[in-house]
Amino acid sequence: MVSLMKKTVLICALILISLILSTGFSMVHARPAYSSTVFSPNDVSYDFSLRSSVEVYNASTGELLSSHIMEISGMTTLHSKRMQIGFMAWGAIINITYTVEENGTITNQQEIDIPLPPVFAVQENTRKIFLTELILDVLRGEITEINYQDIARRVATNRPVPGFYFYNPFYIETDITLGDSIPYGFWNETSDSGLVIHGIVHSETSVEAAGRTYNVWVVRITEAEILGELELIVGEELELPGDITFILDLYYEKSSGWLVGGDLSGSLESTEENNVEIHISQTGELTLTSMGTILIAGESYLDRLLGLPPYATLVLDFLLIAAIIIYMIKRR
Amino acid sequence: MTKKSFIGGLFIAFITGFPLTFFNELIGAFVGIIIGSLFAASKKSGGAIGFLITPCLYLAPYSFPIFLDFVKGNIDLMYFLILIGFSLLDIMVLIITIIGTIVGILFGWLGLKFTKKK
Repeated sequence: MVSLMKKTVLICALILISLILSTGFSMVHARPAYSSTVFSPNDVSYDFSLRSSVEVYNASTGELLSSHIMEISGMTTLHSKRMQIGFMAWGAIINITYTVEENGTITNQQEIDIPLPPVFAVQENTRKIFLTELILDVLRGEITEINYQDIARRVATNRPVPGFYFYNPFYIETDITLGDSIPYGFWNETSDSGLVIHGIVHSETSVEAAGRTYNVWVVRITEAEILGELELIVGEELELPGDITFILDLYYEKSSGWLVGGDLSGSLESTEENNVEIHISQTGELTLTSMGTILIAGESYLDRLLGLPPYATLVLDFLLIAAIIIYMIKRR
Repeated sequence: MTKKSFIGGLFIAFITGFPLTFFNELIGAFVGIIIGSLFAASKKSGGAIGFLITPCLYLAPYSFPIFLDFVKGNIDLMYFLILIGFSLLDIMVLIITIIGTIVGILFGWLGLKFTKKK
């Protein structure tokens, strides 16, 4: 009787372990074609900068009447951990320097550090980022003051809220080809509406980032894609207020589909009725400074950290496990 | 159970599971516990290994880079404590730790059966 009980417990436990490990393995072999580690980035850092300027000229003399420049630069590091089976919680540490310059004089300069705990729910094997109960409470104004104890208590039981999601810009599928379209934006499943702009896989090139050269897909979003989407929402043809150009290039590493950089350039020139000409220009850059835990061509975080070749730590680990098992068999 | 086999099991659980956690944290944690508790070869040791090692391995891909950032001076002590504190106060960590303890007890017992000479 005791032996039978033991066997039953053993079988149940083995089934439990098989379930846990199969969950793990199914995540490693992510479908439809995502690299397994893109859902759990840690220590992945970027430098970013964004410069926006508005200049007003006298249309007849060409004299500069006023200028307004805004610059945002800084760095961000992504962190993630499991929220529940099927969902990862993403957070970030963000350092921002914000400068406003009016007519050549700096009027505002601020440095902001934001340690954002992992509160965004990223669904595995998709590019969907769901809002969570904690974020909704912040948006509804139920959390107005930063009380770390309260936030810690809420983060512990924080769960994704279905119905509304953003498309994650940090990774794409690995089986894409030239000409494919990649969605960006947000979608409300409840009202079946949202704003989704499709970037096009425009070309392939190589990009220098984090001291290495990566083969990348270039996903391009231009004013045409944005205007087309806005026209779909509004339901009529839109007329732009002047000459407008907008190009956003996002570079995704080919084997992992991870974002390694981005370039933004845009301008608008418009002549107003009161004899003034407005020039608006925008430039931006996003550069990867650390690949962190993202697996690229078999090179894991530890391989990179220790300067080892791809799969080296994995092979060493398997050899160690084999040696321990042999030792256990021999010590019987 | 000896103190030596428990400490050996604890060490082996950590070094076998740690590299795997950077591929998948669940696989890394459970492979580490299974190997460590088999080596420790007792229910008590296995349970203790499961209880102590599960949160360490399960959270390693998250906490280890933050720890390195803190050591390098990229983040200050307060942010470090906030980020680590948030990760520990999690219902998922508690559930995985309980499962890890059960798995540790089971494989500790299997290890004991295995090492007993017939």
